[in-house]
Amino acid sequence: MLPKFRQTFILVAVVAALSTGCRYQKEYSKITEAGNQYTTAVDQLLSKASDLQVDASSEQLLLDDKLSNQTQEAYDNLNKQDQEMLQIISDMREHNRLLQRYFHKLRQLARSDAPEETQKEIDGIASNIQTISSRLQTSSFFANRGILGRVGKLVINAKIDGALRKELEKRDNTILQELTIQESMLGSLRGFMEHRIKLIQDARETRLLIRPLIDKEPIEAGLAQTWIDERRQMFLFDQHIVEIKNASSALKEFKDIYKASVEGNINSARLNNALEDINTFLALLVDTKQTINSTN
Amino acid sequence: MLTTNQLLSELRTSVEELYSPKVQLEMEQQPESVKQQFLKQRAQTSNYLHNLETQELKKLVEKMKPLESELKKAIQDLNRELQSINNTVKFISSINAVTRVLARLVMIF
Repeated sequence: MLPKFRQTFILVAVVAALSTGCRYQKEYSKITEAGNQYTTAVDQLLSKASDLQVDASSEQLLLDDKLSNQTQEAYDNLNKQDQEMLQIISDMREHNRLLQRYFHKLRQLARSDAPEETQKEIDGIASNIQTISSRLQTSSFFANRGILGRVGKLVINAKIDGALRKELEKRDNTILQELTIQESMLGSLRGFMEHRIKLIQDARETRLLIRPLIDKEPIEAGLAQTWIDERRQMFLFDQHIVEIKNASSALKEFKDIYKASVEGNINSARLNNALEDINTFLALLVDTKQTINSTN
Repeated sequence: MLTTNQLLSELRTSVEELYSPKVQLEMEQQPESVKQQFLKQRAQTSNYLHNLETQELKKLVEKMKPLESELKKAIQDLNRELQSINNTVKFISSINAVTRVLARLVMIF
């Protein structure tokens, strides 16, 4: 009779743990993953903005030099402006890293292997106690040793689930404020970057395509293929920028995804899509770096 | 009256036109005095745009700063939670170690 009661008790505990904990853990794990990817994408975007700032001003100075020999003063002035802008972008990156660390910690919690470790240790305890019991010729307390370990795992899962939920609810307002500011930042960066991309493209078109073409001497036969390649790269880069613009909407949508997650109004499919969109955006950014470098 | 965003957009368009291939190549054919005047105007427009852009981005950084203390606190709280969960596992692990020794002892005696 007693062993049956114990089994029932353990079963009830399992069902209780299942019904209270772990219900949202998969979603939490995904939102922390999306948060990680989002902050990584923002960091890459800010890094790209720094590169564009310096590249665009370099091209501008070279164009100025074509009109009139530039002075040390003009060069210093440009350096000063670049440094000022790079410092602001660096401050933004530093701040974003804080949000990145926050999501990293959340992810660590959501993906902790503590539940599995707990199960393993409790299974070990049950096995040891059974060895002791059989040696002392007492009745076996653990009819099904595996159940205890699984209960331990569920309890730790529920503890993690609770900690995640508590943290997300507690910091809901701060993170939403943060993401609202970042939304404005992304809007500002878009205009900032588009402008510099346009300046760089125009300057390179002038330097690499138009000047050799309108020069009195025709383009040498040996350089013709290089010229053709440069021109094709220029067009490919245009298409690439359009793709990035479209994909960047994934970053702006993150705020809504986060809000819906905390309110429990999101499903795995939408979270998976968001993750995929952010990853696409990241891949395109890496690609842009290679494309820009190849046009140098 | 123009908003900051409209002004930024118009200034950017102006700077882009001033550095466009057409204008650049055209100005390169002009006399030195015209070039100098043009360079001065172009630099002024670029400087004005730079000031407006830095102002806009600095405002965003200023809005971000007050949230940093709360974010740092959140990271500390999460560290504590992680530590607490790790401690629980360590505690269960030490019980496992003790029962393992006991199991060996009863096998000996």
